[in-house]
Amino acid sequence: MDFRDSQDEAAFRAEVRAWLAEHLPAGWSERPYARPGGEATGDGDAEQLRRWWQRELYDGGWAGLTWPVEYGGRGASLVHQVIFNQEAARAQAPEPINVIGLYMAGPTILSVGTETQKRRYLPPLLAGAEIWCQGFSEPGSGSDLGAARTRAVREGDVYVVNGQKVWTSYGHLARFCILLARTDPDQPKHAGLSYFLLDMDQPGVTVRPLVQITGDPEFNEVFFDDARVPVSERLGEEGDGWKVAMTTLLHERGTMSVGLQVMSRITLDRLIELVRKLDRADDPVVRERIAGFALDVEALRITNLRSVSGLRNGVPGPEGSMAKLLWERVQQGMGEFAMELLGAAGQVTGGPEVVDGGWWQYIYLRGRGHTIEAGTTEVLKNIIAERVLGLPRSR
Amino acid sequence: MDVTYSEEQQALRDAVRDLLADHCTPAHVRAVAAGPTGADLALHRRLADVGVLELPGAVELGIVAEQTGAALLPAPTWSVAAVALPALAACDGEGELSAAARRGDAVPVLVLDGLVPEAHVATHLLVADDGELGVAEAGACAVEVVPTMDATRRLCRVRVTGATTPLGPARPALDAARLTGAVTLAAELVGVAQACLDRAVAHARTREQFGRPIGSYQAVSHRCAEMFVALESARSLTLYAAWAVAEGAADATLAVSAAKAAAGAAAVACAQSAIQVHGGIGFTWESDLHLYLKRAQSGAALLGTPAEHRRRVADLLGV
Repeated sequence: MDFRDSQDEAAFRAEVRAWLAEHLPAGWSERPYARPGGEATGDGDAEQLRRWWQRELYDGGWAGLTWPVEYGGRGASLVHQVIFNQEAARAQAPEPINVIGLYMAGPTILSVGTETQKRRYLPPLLAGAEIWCQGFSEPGSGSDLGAARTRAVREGDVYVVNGQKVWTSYGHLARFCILLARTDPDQPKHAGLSYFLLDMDQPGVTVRPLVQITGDPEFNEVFFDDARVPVSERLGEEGDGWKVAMTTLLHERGTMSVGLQVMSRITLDRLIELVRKLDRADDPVVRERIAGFALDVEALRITNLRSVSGLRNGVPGPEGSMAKLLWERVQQGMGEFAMELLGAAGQVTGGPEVVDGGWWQYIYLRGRGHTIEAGTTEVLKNIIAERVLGLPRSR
Repeated sequence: MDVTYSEEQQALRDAVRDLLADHCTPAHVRAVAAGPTGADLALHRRLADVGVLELPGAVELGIVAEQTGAALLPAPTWSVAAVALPALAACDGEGELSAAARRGDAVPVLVLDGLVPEAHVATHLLVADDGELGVAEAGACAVEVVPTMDATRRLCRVRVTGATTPLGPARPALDAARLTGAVTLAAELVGVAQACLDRAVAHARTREQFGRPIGSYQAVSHRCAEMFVALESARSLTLYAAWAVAEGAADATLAVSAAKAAAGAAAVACAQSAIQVHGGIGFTWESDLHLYLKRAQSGAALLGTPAEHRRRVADLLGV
């Protein structure tokens, strides 16, 4: 048990810190609160910045830290990834543009893909030259992912895809989509699904933006009308789609939560600043609430370190669902508390009276999605109950 | 960075777990709790024989305490190992009393707060007076057991009536005792919470109502999932705090308060939920769950309540 950096880790941390200091734009840390970089806000400047940042990371050798060298990665350990994320958080660095690629598509291709697929997709994914989106949810199957109805019918060397996906973040920017589609309608639900790497740049694919509760067009609907995907671009065997999709989701909840902790730490620090600014720091009720959030943020940090130490080079376990539950609760809770603190001032979203540029209203509204995206609270509790605690399947 | 237990630490955990499985069964705990002292000094000595009173630091103390909490150990082992011995070490190094305590021959208990755990089975009492820590033989003190809820850890009022021998300055001794005592108690509470979750899950798997196991109802299974989140959060905070204390890290005080606040709340919540999941049987004297609930409440209250520690967290964060 040692929470300290080893000599090698400390050297790595120093290297990351120096690199970030050199490569982040001048005055970066003093910039006014921006909307968190994690979201594709449809804001052209933010998008350009995040594309540029991913390229910088790639050129600097920081993208795909834990991935094998032959696919453009650096072959480092997950602990190094954690150190990198911690330092990026400290510097409040932007989020790279290709988060679906980095945290979901990439790890899944690495663990299931053929040699040809790995060589074709991974390097441009890391460089941010090809952005990825995720085609899992459908209008008729959200939490019940196994009920997906989008069809992929094999015709010779290709599958012809028809159907609709929804809540597709980055769909409007993406060149490729990790797509879950039904190849055998006669098999029971989960058994008839297959997993594809589909090129979005074709006539059979239509992307329509969906405006969120925040007013941002962060995600999309995607329609497939006789879209095509070569048989060679199926990931895993036909009928193995569910198993492959689970790998993706474990990565989403496991690896990604290492990054989410960063967002909650920044939010907590800003919440404490807000309390001071509103002159509420003497209120014992306020102090009690802040302490409660601080406990959760810290528990999340250490829980992530525990899972990283426990798994080293494997696929994250279902325990990642616990970290996601903890994260969504604290992140959503801080947004709610900020609105409570602001009172009527929380209604003001612009003009000279606005507090922190409207950041808190954004955190509050965006927070409503945290308990829905990447597995709803209810689905995650089912996963913990059934897969971690071994309780019987719920109906 | 490696947040896993070493092989030696795992061996320690397994040894204590096995020893308690043999000698600290629920039936034994009930028998001891119903007895006059509520403390099994023979079991304390058995733990001493496997080295539990000679552990290198807070991480190992936590590993042991998690097991003793899960087993509801009715013995003054925490009071000696995590409170009295760190106090002695901070003020007079390793004296004769410490050596005797580590062998299990002496049972020193430190008077920290008004209600003193396990003072009635102490051979020596450590008392701070006027900036000095002194030691008094048990015979030189009036010790009165106060009737309390948790019968597995009795609380006493202590008054020194005879002579004390000065040991050294009190401040560092009391600080060390509070820090190590609180973080080890947090680990004990993690053990209590884990035992409650295990019992709730075991019951929910097998108990059937309306023709199926109650654990297949989300109202029940989601409650168990919430217990798991509370437990694992507390475990994370406690692991870090124990390490921070052992290493003398700059944020050790903050980490211990965070851990004690989370573990106290988690243990109480998990015990309460376990009772709810069990339904009527969980509410009976016959069920062991009330023993866990009462141990959770006493553990949460000693050395700072969750609310007090959250206040401290806010102070230390500079809110």
